[in-house]
Amino acid sequence: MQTRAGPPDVTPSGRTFLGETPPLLVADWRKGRGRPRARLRLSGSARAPPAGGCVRAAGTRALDRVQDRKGGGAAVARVPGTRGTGGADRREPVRCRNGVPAVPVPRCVLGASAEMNTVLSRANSLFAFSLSVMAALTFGCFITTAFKDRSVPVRLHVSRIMLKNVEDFTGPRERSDLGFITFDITADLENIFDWNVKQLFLYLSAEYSTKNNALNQVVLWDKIVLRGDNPKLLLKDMKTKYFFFDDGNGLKGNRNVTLTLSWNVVPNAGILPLVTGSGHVSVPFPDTYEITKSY
Amino acid sequence: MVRASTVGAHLPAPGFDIFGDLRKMNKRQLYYQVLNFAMIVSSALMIWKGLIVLTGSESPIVVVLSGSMEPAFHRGDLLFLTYFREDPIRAGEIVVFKVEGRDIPIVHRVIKVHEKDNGDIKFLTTGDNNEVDDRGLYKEGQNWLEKKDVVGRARGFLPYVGMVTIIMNDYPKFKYALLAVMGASVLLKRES
Repeated sequence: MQTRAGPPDVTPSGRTFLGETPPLLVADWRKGRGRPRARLRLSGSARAPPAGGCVRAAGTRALDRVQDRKGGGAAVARVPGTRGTGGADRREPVRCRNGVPAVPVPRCVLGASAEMNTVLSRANSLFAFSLSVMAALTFGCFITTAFKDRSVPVRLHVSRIMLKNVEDFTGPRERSDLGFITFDITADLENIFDWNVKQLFLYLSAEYSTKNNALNQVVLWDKIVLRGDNPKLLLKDMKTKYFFFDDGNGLKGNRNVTLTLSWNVVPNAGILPLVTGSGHVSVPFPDTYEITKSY
Repeated sequence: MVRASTVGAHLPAPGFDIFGDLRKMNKRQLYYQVLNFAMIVSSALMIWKGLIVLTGSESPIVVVLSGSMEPAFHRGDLLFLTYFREDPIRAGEIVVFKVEGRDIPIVHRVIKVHEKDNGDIKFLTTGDNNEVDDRGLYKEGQNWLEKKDVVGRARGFLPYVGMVTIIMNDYPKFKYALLAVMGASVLLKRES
């Protein structure tokens, strides 16, 4: 609805709200005011005229070129078709015909109409903004916890050890040493959890060296502690979850099998560190195989 | 009236006008557009290859496809891998490996390591969410993995972002459409 006197706004279809061709253009040409607008070739770069102002397509181009001449800065691409407009247009102050100074309105190329353009561009900027906010938040989560020390003291104790020698049914079909261990774990993991820890993957691993292999590591037991679960570990007389098979017969008479509790910190976003708890226990394995008893 | 129709002709018909910028350009500007497009493509390629060199892994960013490592990694999560060959494989590490003869890499955890004096390592992996170890996934008769099968170690984690890649893999038409739209917007829009 028009509230001010002046030329009616022009819709993209070329018709005004009142349903007639813009009178000002034809009338101005007829009265001979200024140069005939028809001479300004706009080289087919069809644009939706800016809403809320007069038809500024041609005049804004003059604005570009006036600034170019004054500033002499960045080279503005010369638009073909406007070359022949003559000097008068360049020096004219940029105004609408009714005397209201023109406001250069940003144009949108990929827009169907003024209304559709607003919805799309709003959705676009909303999406881009929320994406960048989420990215910043994720980065903040990562950087605030990236250099934290995730180690806590752990107390381990082994109460019973047994050794057998059987065919390794989990893989290579050779007779290998099979160890059985009963252990206790005491640890308080509360200080590890913070806003960026999703879960802790705890695992108890046995490390030892044998004649065949310089280093052996076998994971005997694991547990997943999610954020929110009870972080205090008080486990007694636990049996191993996985079979303690050696690659060969290296457990028999092994003096030094070291058990350590480690954890893999899984963050909401960021680094996945592997941390070993401070505290381990070294146990010797028996020299003989247990044949009669079962574990 | 001839004049009126000429004046009216510059007002656009409703509809998309994606070639508007393109029409205004002279030859030099067009060359610039193409060069701009080529710059973007080669920058992306350079960044990717640079990451490969920096991390030492042939595939520095991977997307988790299955749920075998839940609840740590879900389908659609992004993993950042590095592979510095001086660091030995140790139990508890999350490694990405390729089974001989298959091209899809697998993300699992190392549970057994046996290393010899000369540095040869053989190791066994399993998924956190799996009941059994990975020997069923290895080649027929293969019981252990070796260093040469490893693509990288998982060092960083980013949730959900990889869903885009999964969608593009499951619906290739979407991938082509996305690439076409991005390519067109770079080629046809003039940078002001």
